[in-house]
Amino acid sequence: MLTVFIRVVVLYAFSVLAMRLMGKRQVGQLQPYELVLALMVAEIAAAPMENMGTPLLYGLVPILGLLVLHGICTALAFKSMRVRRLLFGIPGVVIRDGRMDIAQMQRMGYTVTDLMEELRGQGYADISQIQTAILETKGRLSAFPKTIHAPLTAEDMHMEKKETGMPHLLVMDGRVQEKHLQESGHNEAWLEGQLKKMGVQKMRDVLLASLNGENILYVQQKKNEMPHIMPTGGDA
Amino acid sequence: MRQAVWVAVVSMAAILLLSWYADGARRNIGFELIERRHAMLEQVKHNDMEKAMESVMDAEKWWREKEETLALFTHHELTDAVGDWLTQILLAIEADREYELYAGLEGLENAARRLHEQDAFLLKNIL
Repeated sequence: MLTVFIRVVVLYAFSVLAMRLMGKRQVGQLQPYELVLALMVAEIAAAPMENMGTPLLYGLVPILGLLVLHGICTALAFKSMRVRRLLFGIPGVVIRDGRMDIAQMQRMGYTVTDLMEELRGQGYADISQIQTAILETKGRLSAFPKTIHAPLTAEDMHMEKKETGMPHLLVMDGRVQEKHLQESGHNEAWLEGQLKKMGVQKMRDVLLASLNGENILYVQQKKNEMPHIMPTGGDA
Repeated sequence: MRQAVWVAVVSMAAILLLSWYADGARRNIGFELIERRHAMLEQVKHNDMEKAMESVMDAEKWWREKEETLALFTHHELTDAVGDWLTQILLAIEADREYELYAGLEGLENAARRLHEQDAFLLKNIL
Protein backbone atom coordinates (compact mmCIF):
# COMPACT_ATOMS: atom_id res chain seq x y z
CA MET A 1 0.00 0.00 0.00
CA LEU A 2 2.92 2.27 0.68
CA THR A 3 3.94 1.92 -2.97
CA VAL A 4 0.49 3.13 -4.02
CA PHE A 5 0.95 6.18 -1.83
CA ILE A 6 4.39 6.87 -3.27
CA ARG A 7 3.02 6.64 -6.84
CA VAL A 8 0.23 9.06 -5.90
CA VAL A 9 2.75 11.50 -4.45
CA VAL A 10 4.99 11.34 -7.53
CA LEU A 11 2.11 11.75 -9.98
CA TYR A 12 0.49 14.52 -7.98
CA ALA A 13 3.75 16.46 -7.67
CA PHE A 14 4.39 16.04 -11.38
CA SER A 15 0.85 17.16 -12.28
CA VAL A 16 1.08 20.24 -10.05
CA LEU A 17 4.47 21.08 -11.55
CA ALA A 18 3.04 20.72 -15.04
CA MET A 19 0.13 23.03 -14.21
CA ARG A 20 2.46 25.59 -12.67
CA LEU A 21 4.74 25.50 -15.67
CA MET A 22 1.73 26.43 -17.77
CA GLY A 23 1.99 29.80 -16.05
CA LYS A 24 -1.54 30.28 -14.77
CA ARG A 25 -2.68 30.37 -11.16
CA GLN A 26 -6.40 29.87 -11.45
CA VAL A 27 -8.59 27.71 -13.62
CA GLY A 28 -10.57 30.83 -14.50
CA GLN A 29 -7.60 32.24 -16.33
CA LEU A 30 -7.25 29.30 -18.69
CA GLN A 31 -7.86 29.56 -22.39
CA PRO A 32 -9.89 26.68 -23.89
CA TYR A 33 -6.84 24.76 -25.12
CA GLU A 34 -5.23 25.14 -21.69
CA LEU A 35 -8.39 23.91 -19.97
CA VAL A 36 -8.29 20.78 -22.15
CA LEU A 37 -4.66 20.28 -21.17
CA ALA A 38 -5.50 20.65 -17.48
CA LEU A 39 -8.29 18.08 -17.71
CA MET A 40 -6.09 15.66 -19.63
CA VAL A 41 -3.26 15.98 -17.11
CA ALA A 42 -5.71 14.96 -14.38
CA GLU A 43 -6.98 11.97 -16.37
CA ILE A 44 -3.52 10.79 -17.34
CA ALA A 45 -2.16 11.08 -13.79
CA ALA A 46 -5.12 9.11 -12.41
CA ALA A 47 -4.54 5.97 -14.53
CA PRO A 48 -1.21 4.85 -12.98
CA MET A 49 -2.47 5.99 -9.56
CA GLU A 50 -5.36 3.53 -9.72
CA ASN A 51 -3.62 0.69 -11.50
CA MET A 52 -0.42 -0.66 -10.02
CA GLY A 53 0.22 -2.63 -13.20
CA THR A 54 0.71 0.56 -15.20
CA PRO A 55 4.30 1.83 -15.01
CA LEU A 56 4.78 5.32 -13.56
CA LEU A 57 6.45 6.46 -16.75
CA TYR A 58 3.16 5.85 -18.57
CA GLY A 59 1.78 8.70 -16.53
CA LEU A 60 4.80 10.98 -16.54
CA VAL A 61 5.71 10.81 -20.24
CA PRO A 62 2.22 11.77 -21.52
CA ILE A 63 2.24 14.73 -19.12
CA LEU A 64 5.60 15.77 -20.58
CA GLY A 65 4.04 15.39 -24.01
CA LEU A 66 1.24 17.73 -23.02
CA LEU A 67 3.79 20.27 -21.86
CA VAL A 68 5.45 20.04 -25.28
CA LEU A 69 2.10 20.69 -26.96
CA HIS A 70 1.37 23.57 -24.63
CA GLY A 71 4.73 25.14 -25.43
CA ILE A 72 4.17 24.77 -29.16
CA CYS A 73 0.64 26.21 -28.99
CA THR A 74 1.77 29.11 -26.82
CA ALA A 75 4.70 29.94 -29.11
CA LEU A 76 2.53 29.75 -32.25
CA ALA A 77 -0.18 31.86 -30.61
CA PHE A 78 2.40 34.56 -29.91
CA LYS A 79 3.67 34.56 -33.45
CA SER A 80 0.46 34.25 -35.43
CA MET A 81 -2.89 36.02 -35.12
CA ARG A 82 -4.52 33.26 -37.11
CA VAL A 83 -3.35 30.59 -34.67
CA ARG A 84 -4.37 32.78 -31.78
CA ARG A 85 -7.89 33.07 -33.24
CA LEU A 86 -7.99 29.33 -33.78
CA LEU A 87 -6.86 28.45 -30.24
CA PHE A 88 -8.38 31.24 -28.21
CA GLY A 89 -11.32 32.33 -30.32
CA ILE A 90 -12.15 36.02 -30.46
CA PRO A 91 -13.97 38.18 -27.93
CA GLY A 92 -17.47 39.22 -28.94
CA VAL A 93 -19.35 42.42 -28.18
CA VAL A 94 -22.70 41.35 -26.73
CA ILE A 95 -23.86 44.82 -25.67
CA ARG A 96 -22.99 47.65 -28.02
CA ASP A 97 -24.03 51.27 -27.35
CA GLY A 98 -26.44 50.08 -24.69
CA ARG A 99 -28.17 47.57 -26.99
CA MET A 100 -27.85 43.78 -26.84
CA ASP A 101 -26.40 42.23 -29.99
CA ILE A 102 -28.69 39.21 -30.24
CA ALA A 103 -27.05 37.81 -33.37
CA GLN A 104 -23.65 37.88 -31.66
CA MET A 105 -25.06 36.25 -28.56
CA GLN A 106 -26.59 33.48 -30.64
CA ARG A 107 -23.30 32.93 -32.47
CA MET A 108 -21.51 32.60 -29.15
CA GLY A 109 -24.21 30.45 -27.53
CA TYR A 110 -24.60 33.08 -24.83
CA THR A 111 -28.10 33.37 -23.36
CA VAL A 112 -29.74 36.33 -21.74
CA THR A 113 -29.68 34.40 -18.45
CA ASP A 114 -25.89 34.03 -18.75
CA LEU A 115 -25.57 37.73 -19.52
CA MET A 116 -27.68 38.89 -16.58
CA GLU A 117 -25.87 36.53 -14.23
CA GLU A 118 -22.49 37.89 -15.25
CA LEU A 119 -23.66 41.49 -14.99
CA ARG A 120 -25.04 40.92 -11.51
CA GLY A 121 -21.74 39.27 -10.56
CA GLN A 122 -19.99 42.50 -11.52
CA GLY A 123 -22.41 44.60 -9.48
CA TYR A 124 -24.74 45.73 -12.26
CA ALA A 125 -28.30 44.71 -11.49
CA ASP A 126 -29.71 47.15 -14.07
CA ILE A 127 -28.75 46.36 -17.66
CA SER A 128 -29.79 49.84 -18.77
CA GLN A 129 -26.64 51.14 -17.03
CA ILE A 130 -24.36 49.23 -19.40
CA GLN A 131 -22.85 50.90 -22.45
CA THR A 132 -20.67 48.02 -23.67
CA ALA A 133 -20.22 44.42 -22.64
CA ILE A 134 -17.63 42.12 -24.18
CA LEU A 135 -17.59 38.35 -23.76
CA GLU A 136 -13.90 37.46 -23.48
CA THR A 137 -12.26 34.33 -24.84
CA LYS A 138 -11.89 32.93 -21.32
CA GLY A 139 -15.67 33.07 -20.85
CA ARG A 140 -15.72 36.14 -18.61
CA LEU A 141 -17.80 39.18 -19.34
CA SER A 142 -16.22 42.64 -19.27
CA ALA A 143 -18.92 45.23 -18.67
CA PHE A 144 -18.42 48.98 -19.08
CA PRO A 145 -21.13 51.24 -17.69
CA LYS A 146 -22.44 54.36 -19.37
CA THR A 147 -20.45 57.43 -18.40
CA ILE A 148 -23.30 58.78 -16.30
CA HIS A 149 -23.35 55.57 -14.26
CA ALA A 150 -19.59 55.16 -13.98
CA PRO A 151 -18.01 55.69 -10.54
CA LEU A 152 -16.75 59.22 -9.94
CA THR A 153 -13.03 59.72 -10.32
CA ALA A 154 -10.77 62.44 -8.96
CA GLU A 155 -10.60 63.86 -12.49
CA ASP A 156 -14.40 64.24 -12.59
CA MET A 157 -14.23 66.20 -9.34
CA HIS A 158 -11.31 68.29 -10.68
CA MET A 159 -9.24 67.11 -7.75
CA GLU A 160 -5.53 66.62 -7.79
CA LYS A 161 -4.38 63.31 -6.43
CA LYS A 162 -0.82 62.08 -6.45
CA GLU A 163 0.04 58.52 -7.48
CA THR A 164 0.42 56.36 -4.41
CA GLY A 165 1.76 53.23 -6.06
CA MET A 166 1.30 49.67 -4.86
CA PRO A 167 1.48 48.76 -1.16
CA HIS A 168 4.40 46.58 -0.11
CA LEU A 169 3.84 43.40 1.87
CA LEU A 170 6.71 43.57 4.35
CA VAL A 171 5.90 40.62 6.61
CA MET A 172 3.86 37.50 5.90
CA ASP A 173 3.30 34.74 8.43
CA GLY A 174 6.03 36.08 10.68
CA ARG A 175 8.64 36.16 7.90
CA VAL A 176 10.18 39.34 6.54
CA GLN A 177 9.75 39.68 2.77
CA GLU A 178 13.25 40.98 2.01
CA LYS A 179 12.59 41.86 -1.61
CA HIS A 180 9.48 43.93 -0.85
CA LEU A 181 11.20 45.56 2.11
CA GLN A 182 14.03 46.68 -0.15
CA GLU A 183 11.62 47.93 -2.79
CA SER A 184 9.88 50.05 -0.16
CA GLY A 185 13.23 51.72 0.56
CA HIS A 186 13.55 50.45 4.13
CA ASN A 187 15.52 47.85 6.05
CA GLU A 188 14.85 45.33 8.79
CA ALA A 189 16.12 47.64 11.54
CA TRP A 190 13.63 50.30 10.47
CA LEU A 191 10.81 47.76 10.42
CA GLU A 192 11.68 46.45 13.88
CA GLY A 193 11.67 50.02 15.18
CA GLN A 194 8.23 50.69 13.73
CA LEU A 195 6.88 47.45 15.17
CA LYS A 196 8.26 48.30 18.61
CA LYS A 197 6.46 51.68 18.45
CA MET A 198 3.26 49.70 17.95
CA GLY A 199 4.05 47.47 20.90
CA VAL A 200 4.93 44.44 18.77
CA GLN A 201 8.06 42.87 20.25
CA LYS A 202 8.76 39.95 17.92
CA MET A 203 8.63 39.69 14.15
CA ARG A 204 7.29 36.16 14.35
CA ASP A 205 4.16 37.45 16.12
CA VAL A 206 3.19 39.39 13.00
CA LEU A 207 0.73 37.77 10.63
CA LEU A 208 0.81 40.57 8.07
CA ALA A 209 2.57 43.92 7.78
CA SER A 210 1.95 46.16 4.80
CA LEU A 211 3.24 49.66 3.91
CA ASN A 212 1.19 51.67 1.43
CA GLY A 213 2.19 54.52 -0.87
CA GLU A 214 1.27 57.09 1.79
CA ASN A 215 3.71 55.49 4.25
CA ILE A 216 0.99 54.12 6.46
CA LEU A 217 2.00 50.86 8.10
CA TYR A 218 -0.70 48.23 8.70
CA VAL A 219 0.19 45.43 11.09
CA GLN A 220 -1.99 42.48 12.01
CA GLN A 221 -0.64 40.20 14.71
CA LYS A 222 -1.24 36.46 14.92
CA LYS A 223 -3.07 37.02 18.20
CA ASN A 224 -6.69 37.79 17.51
CA GLU A 225 -6.38 41.55 18.10
CA MET A 226 -7.34 44.64 16.18
CA PRO A 227 -4.73 45.60 13.57
CA HIS A 228 -2.36 48.51 14.21
CA ILE A 229 -2.42 51.27 11.60
CA MET A 230 0.25 53.95 11.97
CA PRO A 231 1.73 56.62 9.70
CA THR A 232 5.49 56.16 9.51
CA GLY A 233 6.20 59.63 8.22
CA GLY A 234 8.38 58.25 5.43
CA ASP A 235 11.44 58.06 7.72
CA ALA A 236 14.12 55.58 6.60
CA MET B 1 6.18 32.61 -23.83
CA ARG B 2 9.89 31.98 -23.44
CA GLN B 3 9.27 29.83 -20.37
CA ALA B 4 6.64 27.79 -22.21
CA VAL B 5 9.04 27.23 -25.11
CA TRP B 6 11.87 26.20 -22.82
CA VAL B 7 9.61 23.83 -20.91
CA ALA B 8 8.49 22.33 -24.22
CA VAL B 9 12.08 21.89 -25.42
CA VAL B 10 13.22 20.28 -22.16
CA SER B 11 10.12 18.04 -22.05
CA MET B 12 10.68 16.93 -25.65
CA ALA B 13 14.31 16.15 -24.88
CA ALA B 14 13.26 14.12 -21.82
CA ILE B 15 10.68 12.22 -23.89
CA LEU B 16 13.21 11.41 -26.62
CA LEU B 17 15.80 10.29 -24.07
CA LEU B 18 13.34 8.10 -22.20
CA SER B 19 12.01 6.65 -25.45
CA TRP B 20 15.47 5.85 -26.69
CA TYR B 21 16.41 4.14 -23.43
CA ALA B 22 13.09 2.39 -22.71
CA ASP B 23 12.29 1.26 -26.24
CA GLY B 24 15.85 0.12 -26.80
CA ALA B 25 15.96 -1.87 -23.56
CA ARG B 26 12.57 -3.42 -24.21
CA ARG B 27 13.46 -4.37 -27.81
CA ASN B 28 16.77 -5.94 -26.78
CA ILE B 29 15.25 -7.89 -23.91
CA GLY B 30 12.36 -8.99 -26.11
CA PHE B 31 14.77 -10.14 -28.81
CA GLU B 32 16.89 -12.10 -26.36
CA LEU B 33 13.78 -13.73 -24.94
CA ILE B 34 12.75 -14.78 -28.46
CA GLU B 35 16.20 -16.30 -29.00
CA ARG B 36 16.14 -18.15 -25.68
CA ARG B 37 12.69 -19.48 -26.48
CA HIS B 38 13.94 -20.62 -29.88
CA ALA B 39 16.84 -22.49 -28.21
CA MET B 40 14.38 -24.17 -25.77
CA LEU B 41 12.19 -25.25 -28.68
CA GLU B 42 15.16 -26.80 -30.53
CA GLN B 43 16.19 -28.69 -27.42
CA VAL B 44 12.64 -29.99 -26.91
CA LYS B 45 12.40 -31.04 -30.58
CA HIS B 46 15.63 -33.00 -30.20
CA ASN B 47 14.23 -34.55 -27.02
CA ASP B 48 17.06 -33.09 -24.98
CA MET B 49 14.85 -32.45 -21.94
CA GLU B 50 17.66 -32.03 -19.47
CA LYS B 51 19.21 -29.26 -21.49
CA ALA B 52 15.79 -27.73 -22.10
CA MET B 53 15.14 -27.65 -18.36
CA GLU B 54 18.52 -25.99 -17.77
CA SER B 55 17.71 -23.40 -20.40
CA VAL B 56 14.34 -22.66 -18.81
CA MET B 57 15.84 -22.32 -15.33
CA ASP B 58 18.54 -20.09 -16.71
CA ALA B 59 15.92 -18.05 -18.54
CA GLU B 60 13.88 -17.66 -15.35
CA LYS B 61 16.91 -16.39 -13.45
CA TRP B 62 17.74 -13.98 -16.29
CA TRP B 63 14.14 -12.81 -16.47
CA ARG B 64 13.94 -12.02 -12.76
CA GLU B 65 16.88 -9.63 -13.22
CA LYS B 66 15.39 -7.98 -16.30
CA GLU B 67 11.95 -7.63 -14.76
CA GLU B 68 13.19 -4.95 -12.38
CA THR B 69 14.37 -2.79 -15.29
CA LEU B 70 11.29 -3.45 -17.37
CA ALA B 71 8.91 -2.56 -14.53
CA LEU B 72 9.75 1.11 -15.14
CA PHE B 73 8.31 1.23 -18.61
CA THR B 74 6.40 -1.95 -19.37
CA HIS B 75 2.95 -3.04 -18.29
CA HIS B 76 3.37 -5.40 -15.39
CA GLU B 77 0.73 -7.66 -16.88
CA LEU B 78 3.15 -8.42 -19.74
CA THR B 79 6.19 -9.01 -17.54
CA ASP B 80 4.11 -11.22 -15.24
CA ALA B 81 2.87 -13.17 -18.26
CA VAL B 82 6.43 -14.02 -19.36
CA GLY B 83 7.26 -15.23 -15.85
CA ASP B 84 4.11 -17.36 -15.81
CA TRP B 85 4.88 -18.94 -19.20
CA LEU B 86 8.42 -19.84 -18.12
CA THR B 87 7.04 -21.49 -14.99
CA GLN B 88 4.50 -23.41 -17.02
CA ILE B 89 7.21 -24.66 -19.41
CA LEU B 90 9.37 -25.78 -16.50
CA LEU B 91 6.53 -27.63 -14.81
CA ALA B 92 5.49 -29.22 -18.11
CA ILE B 93 9.02 -30.53 -18.70
CA GLU B 94 9.19 -31.90 -15.14
CA ALA B 95 5.80 -33.60 -15.46
CA ASP B 96 6.43 -34.68 -19.04
CA ARG B 97 3.27 -33.03 -20.30
CA GLU B 98 3.88 -32.35 -23.98
CA TYR B 99 0.72 -30.39 -24.73
CA GLU B 100 1.31 -27.91 -21.91
CA LEU B 101 4.97 -27.67 -22.88
CA TYR B 102 4.17 -26.58 -26.44
CA ALA B 103 1.37 -24.31 -25.24
CA GLY B 104 3.84 -22.70 -22.86
CA LEU B 105 6.41 -22.21 -25.61
CA GLU B 106 3.78 -20.65 -27.86
CA GLY B 107 2.56 -18.37 -25.10
CA LEU B 108 6.15 -17.36 -24.37
CA GLU B 109 6.74 -16.51 -28.01
CA ASN B 110 3.63 -14.31 -28.13
CA ALA B 111 4.62 -12.53 -24.96
CA ALA B 112 8.18 -12.05 -26.21
CA ARG B 113 6.94 -10.58 -29.52
CA ARG B 114 4.59 -8.24 -27.67
CA LEU B 115 7.50 -7.11 -25.57
CA HIS B 116 9.71 -6.64 -28.61
CA GLU B 117 7.09 -4.69 -30.53
CA GLN B 118 5.51 -2.70 -27.69
CA ASP B 119 5.77 0.99 -28.33
CA ALA B 120 7.67 0.34 -31.56
CA PHE B 121 6.93 2.97 -34.16
CA LEU B 122 4.31 0.91 -35.90
CA LEU B 123 0.97 2.02 -37.27
CA LYS B 124 -0.85 -0.64 -35.26
CA ASN B 125 0.62 0.76 -32.04
CA ILE B 126 -0.44 4.30 -32.92
CA LEU B 127 -3.95 3.20 -33.85
